[in-house]
Amino acid sequence: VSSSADTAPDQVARLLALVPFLLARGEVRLDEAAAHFDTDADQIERDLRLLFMTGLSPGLPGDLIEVDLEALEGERIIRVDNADYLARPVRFAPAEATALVVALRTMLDSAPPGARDVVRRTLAKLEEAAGTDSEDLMRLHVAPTPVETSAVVPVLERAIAAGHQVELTYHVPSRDQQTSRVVDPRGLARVADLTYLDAWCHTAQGDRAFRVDRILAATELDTRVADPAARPRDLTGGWFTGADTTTVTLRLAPAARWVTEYYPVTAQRAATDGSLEVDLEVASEEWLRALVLRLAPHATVLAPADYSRGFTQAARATLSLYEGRGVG
Amino acid sequence: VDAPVRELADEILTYGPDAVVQAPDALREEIVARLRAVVGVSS
Repeated sequence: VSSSADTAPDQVARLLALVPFLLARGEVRLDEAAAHFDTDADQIERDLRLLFMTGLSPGLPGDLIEVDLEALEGERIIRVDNADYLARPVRFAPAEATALVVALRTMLDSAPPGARDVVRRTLAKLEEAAGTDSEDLMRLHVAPTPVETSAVVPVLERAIAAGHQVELTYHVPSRDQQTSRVVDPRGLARVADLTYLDAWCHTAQGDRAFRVDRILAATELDTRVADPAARPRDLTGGWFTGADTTTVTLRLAPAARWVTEYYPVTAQRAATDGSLEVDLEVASEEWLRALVLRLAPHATVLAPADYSRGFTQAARATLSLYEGRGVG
Repeated sequence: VDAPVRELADEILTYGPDAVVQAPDALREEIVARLRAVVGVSS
């Protein structure tokens, strides 16, 4: 939980730095700590009250970090105790090390050739380190995902490299149909956990993204793609960027800054009054209106102007229903 | 304002004019105050 002026990552970052800072000094004046972390004493006090509830599992009194609240409230001095373990190197529990090993073995199958050696060396170090524990790693076999073993991926990669068209047999789940179409492939893109073929579809006469795990068959044709210079779309930001979305700029007061942690904002700018201007890609004006109403009055729609007007009208219409009943 | 009232107001406000609170008064007043702040009406 963060304070109203902070995001959770801000506060966690400060807490992680605060504990070693305090341990290295023994005791520190509250205002000195605030100055060091470029914040105010109230914020540091809120951090310490959160720290007070932090510690090792299972969280019994002896496991938690101790903060001398009397000194904090009286002399405004910070003293913490029972936090020495934070200064020691972190050790993985067997389950944590196993999870990392599983992830790395999966990466080994899908990583580009140049990165495989790094993954192999990391894996070897991790297995060696974890193997010295009394409790050994769980021995697991990680099967490659269907995409990694897909027979169509090499065909698509060859066709993309050669600039050749591809004939696809594709499963359309919404109609439970198999369709056959010729596409100009541009590239393979990974979005979230799925791999897509980005292509121009001659059947649909438009840009389409085909989920690779739904491509049932792919045949490289001898015909060249219509536009060899066409590049794949940049999907690194996910699907919610592009022509079907509208860039909306919001001003968020501190109480509404959690939006930046919850929704993928494409840009954010801090204002001098502590508020934040953020841009986000919005596919539905109704969705945005509901969000900004939820945040009321801590968020303002700055752009586009018609979205701003729409939001104000919705707020006014809602208010009139209450005032018409003599409430307020 | 109590956190449960504020959180419930968050949720109800998302419905805009499609949802009007009949009771309790504390919830109605919270919603009205927030909407007034948005449209610039002083209470």
